[in-house]
Amino acid sequence: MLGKIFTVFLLSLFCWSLAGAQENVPIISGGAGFLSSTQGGTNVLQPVLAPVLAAPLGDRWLIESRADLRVVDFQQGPGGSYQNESFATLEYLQLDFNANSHLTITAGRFLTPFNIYNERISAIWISKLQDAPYVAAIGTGQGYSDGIMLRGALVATSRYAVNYEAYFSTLSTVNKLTSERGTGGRVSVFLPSTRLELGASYRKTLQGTRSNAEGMDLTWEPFQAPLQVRGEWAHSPSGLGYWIQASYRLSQMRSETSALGRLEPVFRVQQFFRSEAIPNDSLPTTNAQQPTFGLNYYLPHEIRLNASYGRQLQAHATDTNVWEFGITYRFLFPLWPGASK
Amino acid sequence: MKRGLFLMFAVCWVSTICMVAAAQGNQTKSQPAPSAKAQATAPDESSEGEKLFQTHCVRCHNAPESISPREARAVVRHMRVRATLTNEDERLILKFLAP
Repeated sequence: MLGKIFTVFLLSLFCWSLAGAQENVPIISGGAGFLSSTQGGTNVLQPVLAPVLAAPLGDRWLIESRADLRVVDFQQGPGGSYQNESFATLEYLQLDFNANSHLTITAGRFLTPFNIYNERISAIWISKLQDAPYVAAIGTGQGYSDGIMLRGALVATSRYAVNYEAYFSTLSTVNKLTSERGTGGRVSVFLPSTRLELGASYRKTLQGTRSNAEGMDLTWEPFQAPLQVRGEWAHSPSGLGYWIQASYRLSQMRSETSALGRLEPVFRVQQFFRSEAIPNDSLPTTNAQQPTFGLNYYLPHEIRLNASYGRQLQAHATDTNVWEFGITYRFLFPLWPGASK
Repeated sequence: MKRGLFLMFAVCWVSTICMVAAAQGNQTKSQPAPSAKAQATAPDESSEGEKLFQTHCVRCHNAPESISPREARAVVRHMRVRATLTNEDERLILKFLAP
């Protein structure tokens, strides 16, 4: 089934590309990396490749897709032997139609727009810390939805913009393309002068327990400093939690390309409060909190080194140290070669 | 059967890539010079586009080190969907990335 969909997708790209102008060159972007973590003395190693395809078709259409290919090499307890498992996930494969400034229609598989982490920060070459916050599992289903989404700017002025995303996801049990039946959306206000964005999200699952999830998010990146503040709050029948993260690149002290200017300390604190035991909800089984401190180092050619230390404090369990080290490479090139302007 | 279909598809795909690459080469050679009016308005629009790029790009990620004009349209279209840019924003950012 996945093969057929991929073939149809490539054939449609093939047809459109025949009629495409020079500017409509598809791109391959994304990231590759090697991630490692040690939690409570148990190691996990992960080589990851996450390619992104973006193919504009004419003036209004775009096909975009992202996959996640990784091998997880995990240790069977502290000092134990290693086992590995490989995963291939189609994170999104969507067709976008830009109807006008206020409406873009998306069909296919897309990242569930609940808060900001899932859609914007989860990519390995974007996230400042390797592990996802606890509450990233709330309201996103499996992270992606199969269906239709409407999004755009309700109001867009030079002083503020009000944006929306609304979607319906169908139930799919097809191998590798599973999704939950649900609906939801997000509304946000963005202030361009201060690069401050506040958002509110909602999701209703239309199967099983038919539960609701609510969330709020914040993003702030002042122009005056290379500071980035992000946070989320989310609630579902499983419980509620929040995370807030600040990162500051030291490029203000020296130039961005100096040894010091390439360094970026990151700090995140998160908490989760369990309400109801719901199996397989990808959330901590009891109340948990974790402060994490990280250091990112930006090398030339889009290579980034990252290291972090966190302390997981969980009720009715032993507190554990979480060490993470990784290297990521971000790439971007046209799908086929050709002369540049 | 599956192998035959795959071979047919692969041949079509490779020939298309060759044709489009050749067509792109021709288009690049015949790229018209910008008009006087376009040249007069370009710096303003480009700086406005740069400002918009700086404003919206970091909502998701750090700006890439470089984006070539050939990659610009796909990058901006992708960005338009994610950052809910208007038609005008898209046009100005494209003007900045691929003047």
